[in-house]
Amino acid sequence: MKPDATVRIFLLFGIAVTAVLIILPAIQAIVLSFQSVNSFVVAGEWAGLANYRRILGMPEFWRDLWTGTCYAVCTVALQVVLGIGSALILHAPIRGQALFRAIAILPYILPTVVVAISFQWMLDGNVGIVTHWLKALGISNFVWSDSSFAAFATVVGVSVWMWTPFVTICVLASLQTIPDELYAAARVDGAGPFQSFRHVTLPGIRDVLVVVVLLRGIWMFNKFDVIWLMTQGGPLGGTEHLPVLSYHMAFRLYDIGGGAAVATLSLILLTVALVVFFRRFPIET
Amino acid sequence: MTRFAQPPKLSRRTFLAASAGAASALYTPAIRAQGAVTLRLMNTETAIASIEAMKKIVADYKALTGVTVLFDNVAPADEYPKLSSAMRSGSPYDMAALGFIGDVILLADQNLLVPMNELVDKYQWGPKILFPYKGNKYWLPYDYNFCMIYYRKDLYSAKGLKVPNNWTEYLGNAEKLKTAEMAGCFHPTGNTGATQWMSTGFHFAEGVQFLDDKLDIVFDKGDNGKKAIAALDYFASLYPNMPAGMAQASWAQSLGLFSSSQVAHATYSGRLIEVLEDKAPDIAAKVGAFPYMDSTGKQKAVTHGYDGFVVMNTPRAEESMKFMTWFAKEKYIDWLHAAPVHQQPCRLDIYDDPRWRSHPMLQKHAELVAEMRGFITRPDMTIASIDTQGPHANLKAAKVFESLAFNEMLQNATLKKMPSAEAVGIAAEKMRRATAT
Repeated sequence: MKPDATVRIFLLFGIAVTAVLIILPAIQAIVLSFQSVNSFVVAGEWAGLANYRRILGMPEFWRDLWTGTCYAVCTVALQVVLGIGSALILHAPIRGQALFRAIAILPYILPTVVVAISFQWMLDGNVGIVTHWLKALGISNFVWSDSSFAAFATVVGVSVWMWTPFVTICVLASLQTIPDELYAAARVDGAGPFQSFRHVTLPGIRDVLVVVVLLRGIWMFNKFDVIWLMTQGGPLGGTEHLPVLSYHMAFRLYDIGGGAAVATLSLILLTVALVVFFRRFPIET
Repeated sequence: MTRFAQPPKLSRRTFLAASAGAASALYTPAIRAQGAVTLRLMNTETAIASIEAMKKIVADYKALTGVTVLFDNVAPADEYPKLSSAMRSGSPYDMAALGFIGDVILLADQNLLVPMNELVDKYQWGPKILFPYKGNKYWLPYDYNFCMIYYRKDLYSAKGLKVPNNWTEYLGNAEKLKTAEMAGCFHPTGNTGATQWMSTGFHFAEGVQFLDDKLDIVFDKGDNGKKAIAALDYFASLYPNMPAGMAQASWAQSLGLFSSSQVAHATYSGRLIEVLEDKAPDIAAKVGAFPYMDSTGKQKAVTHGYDGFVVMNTPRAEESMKFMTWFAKEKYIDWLHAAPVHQQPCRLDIYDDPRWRSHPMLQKHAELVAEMRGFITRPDMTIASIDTQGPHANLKAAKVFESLAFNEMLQNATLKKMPSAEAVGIAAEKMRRATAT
């Protein structure tokens, strides 16, 4: 067999897997969004744009879009800032560097369900260890689940804790590609640490950062598990975003067409955001 | 010098042979299994004792008939997605334990269930459990899972309290038992099924209806609306006596806080007794229970979280029905004994069956079990849940349940301090939107 034939076989295999596992389900979801259907088992009835009209008229949709956008922006911003900071620390030649790097990655390799339940118990208003610490500090009436804002801040905090290591790893890898000579030259030119960071480090990690922000933005906008496990969208819808709304409609309210319409609208909005992002931050080749 | 070995060449013949080998290895068990009857059962009782009991039951059936029953354990909240995806994948379940009547109706409407009239009609049943639909009984129920209010007899005795008969008395008891270390009562308000199960009792005892005979939402209408507002006002007055974090609380917190003496009243089914016997046996001996009550003391209520088995309309439905018939006759009590107090029988003959009564935990808590049995016979008792509202089984009630409108109403009243009339109105509108499709 010729080498190019082998490549073709693997390419075809990749295309087939992508088609079966990604493209076909996406097309099916889009088709479902135009149907009135309450089960995955029987065929639905064609409903045209009725689901979209209904969804766009729901106050919950606009509230959840806003919540999801805030959640994605807050979590990605914090992950990037903290990820760069921790990568810079881990990049420095310190004793036990390998150990610190391993510890820094730990949150990322923990299963989400473990993290969510652990934080729930740590923050429990009665028996949680954080509650006891707060009481020791004289703060006795903080209950994270009793206000929409506190619950939102909590899921943002947990998400940042869990996924910052991804940014750290990527930035750390990128930092190692910046030649030391550039820093030496900057020092010769009189640059301090901040100026070195601004004029050497940031340009050096720019392309990686663009990809990281892109990936984390997509993942956080579509992030379902941590919110569902911790709050199920509550209290008072304060942590409900589009993936939760879509799941709730499709799998709880037997409104699969409506759930699919929410998912399709989410896909369209994300695609538009990606196009804008790429125009603003083109990846240099 | 480092030598890199050339990777072996992948010929077309090698690729096809490897693919065929892998496919046959994967498919061989399926081919072998075609020789014998194999049934698939979806079990939603995920406690270890229930899983062990089911293992024993299917092993006994295999020994008796040669029929293999494979079962998967699925969290109740995922029962419908799991059933649907199994059907779509081409390997449907033949039987399933379900705990939500909306799922039963939806499956029946799609001709995916086999009526179980002949089997169900062999037995006598308690009220509000069969949920006949379009003239057929589509499931074999096995428990009621009544949610009631537990109290500590020793604490009541120390404070000179009596079992409350109306709202004022219950609130008074909760206030008197509340200390810096112990909250007065536990009624969650979060976005989980625990809220609809543990916090709707006061509304039902007061006579609040969610749907009328025409299946219209009447939660905020007329006298019914006034009752809903009054019950919500009452719930809000109880709230200061509850532990912190009710908007996040669920089943586990009720068990945990009561068994660690951090709450004076807890809401749960008989499962609480089983947990106490395991984790805090000293408290288990001091526990009593009473139903939810109305404002005047005339009416009581318990909310039910029923469960039952359905037979799916697969090519093996006849074999499945044979299994269920055998199960109902021979193994029903074994199954109930897996959670003896929690799985309160809805089949009336069970209560007088010496085999069922012989379980040590049922004997130890005979007084409580008698109280629980009274819930299904007392004339002043309402047995209700949001998802079974309406004159007959219907999908609208299931959607009202899943809309979480009731949960958000409680959150509005307790977290936002919204006036009850406004909160009830918002909840009713949300119910209408959820049932419009």
